[in-house]
Amino acid sequence: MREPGEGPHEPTHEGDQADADLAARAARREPAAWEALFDAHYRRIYAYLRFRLASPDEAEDLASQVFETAYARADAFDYRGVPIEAWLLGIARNLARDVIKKRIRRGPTDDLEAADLAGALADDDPAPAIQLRSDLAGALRCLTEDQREVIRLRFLLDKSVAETAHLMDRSEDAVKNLQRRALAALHRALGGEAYPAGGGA
Amino acid sequence: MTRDRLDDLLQRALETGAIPPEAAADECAELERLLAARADIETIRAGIDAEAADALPAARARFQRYLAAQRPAPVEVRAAAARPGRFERLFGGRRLSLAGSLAAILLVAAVALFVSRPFHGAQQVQALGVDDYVQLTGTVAAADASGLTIETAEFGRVAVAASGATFLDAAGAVMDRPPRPGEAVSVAGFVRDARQGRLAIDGQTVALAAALPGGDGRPLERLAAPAEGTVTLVAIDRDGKEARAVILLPDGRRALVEVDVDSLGQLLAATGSPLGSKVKIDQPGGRLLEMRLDPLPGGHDGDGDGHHRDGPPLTRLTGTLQNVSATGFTLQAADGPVQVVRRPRLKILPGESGLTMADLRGGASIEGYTATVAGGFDPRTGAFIAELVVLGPKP
Repeated sequence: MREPGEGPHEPTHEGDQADADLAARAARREPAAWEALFDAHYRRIYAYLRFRLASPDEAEDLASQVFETAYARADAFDYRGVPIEAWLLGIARNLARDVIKKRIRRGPTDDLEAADLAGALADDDPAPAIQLRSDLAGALRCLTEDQREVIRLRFLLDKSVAETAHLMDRSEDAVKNLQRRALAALHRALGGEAYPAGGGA
Repeated sequence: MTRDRLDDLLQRALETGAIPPEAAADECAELERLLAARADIETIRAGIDAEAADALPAARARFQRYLAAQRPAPVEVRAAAARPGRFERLFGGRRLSLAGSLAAILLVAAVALFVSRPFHGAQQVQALGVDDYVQLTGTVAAADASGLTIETAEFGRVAVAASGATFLDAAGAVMDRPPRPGEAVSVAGFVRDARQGRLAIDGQTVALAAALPGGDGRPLERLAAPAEGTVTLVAIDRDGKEARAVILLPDGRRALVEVDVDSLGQLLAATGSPLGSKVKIDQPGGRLLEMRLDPLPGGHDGDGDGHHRDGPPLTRLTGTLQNVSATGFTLQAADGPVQVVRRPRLKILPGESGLTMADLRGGASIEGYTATVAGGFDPRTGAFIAELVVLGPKP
């Protein structure tokens, strides 16, 4: 089953000819095109993964794997207006989930979404997952995976509401609602006063 | 106040950075709380962005290597020869004459002479690979805002990106300025580009150091027998499985040695940096290319604080790792705790901890392990900036 953002979609943006040309060259596996893609997107892919994984080394390794996987699947990528970064993020999301699932099977983990995947929230004091304040790391664990995803996309990668909606396979209104509830839940988990349960929703 | 209205007000506040003027008082209060939560997220962005920028050069080199490996191998094409070539005619069957025999003998002799000579370029390429952690010495040839160019005995000119590097003075303390042209330095960092003539290193620590002997100028040779000498370069590959060293032999030759990773880890733990240390190369078990670096008594002065006479001024601390986080840890040393600043790409060797490089890359906790930490003190903050950590067993 395809993850949102990984497979072909109908165009959601007016054609960016340069992006389309780059995608076509990437599909032909032109090394120069892939080097350009790497330079353009590596930092954001790393940031996305780093927000999910406890180890910077692992985020670095996985970010590289994203591009290697994308290159291997290059001939299967159907551009049709889908931003290349959305495709890369879809691969990153799947690779991160695979890694976290494997780790859960091995034992306790500090990864932010591991608690959700394991079906239980961590009660212990977790080591900071990123260069986070420990209270922020703990607060993020209290969010649902959807809430963390909207925070990653909107506030870490600066995706627009429309782009986030596309990547999460939601409507724009749903994303606006989700981002409000995510921020409210974060504020509440950080010990915010006078905030009604449910994030005001 | 409806949910939809609040969603829209929040979205406008996020876009403009200001709470919309039509928001009622209770809506304003709620929006302020939401924006405060968003500000908390912003606090981690700078750290992640810095990590990503730091990781980029090595990751790019890895991807370039991956791309190079994907290129199809050249296909051998046999063309039907219309007529015998010059070489074929010379050695061809009945037409082989005395002159041809002599020419053949001379040709074979020339080839034998050529292949028996040290092949400078090939040895250089083998000494370092992309993503290797490396310590080497040289003299600063040029310095600008982006980094240094150093002249090394092993490779000639090497570019050192120094934007994220720590500069240490001769006493091992952090200094504000980069080294100047003409000063001898030791460089520790990661190989960004290993191509011949384009060697480039992402410097982590650049320390003023005593100049090491330059050797006799002959190219590197591969060492395949027990020997003694002075270490002028060490390198460990990304996976911690292969290690190499360049040894200056007493007769002035420079030898490239593939060394046992564990023995190099022990030497790093004993010295912080083995550059300038006199060592003995052994072949335990008689296995070729699996030799050990063993410090000779007096090879470094062993004064306990990591300074050794001819090497770089890295300070060496030992203790137990506590309060480990992404940004640092506390080293509980015999004479008290030391706050240690940890770089995103800090090299950690498993040493005798029982952990593996795969464990460490997978995020295994190093809390509670004993360790030797090499680096330098920042006199402004009192913190110790780590260059290298070699783990030991839990106490």
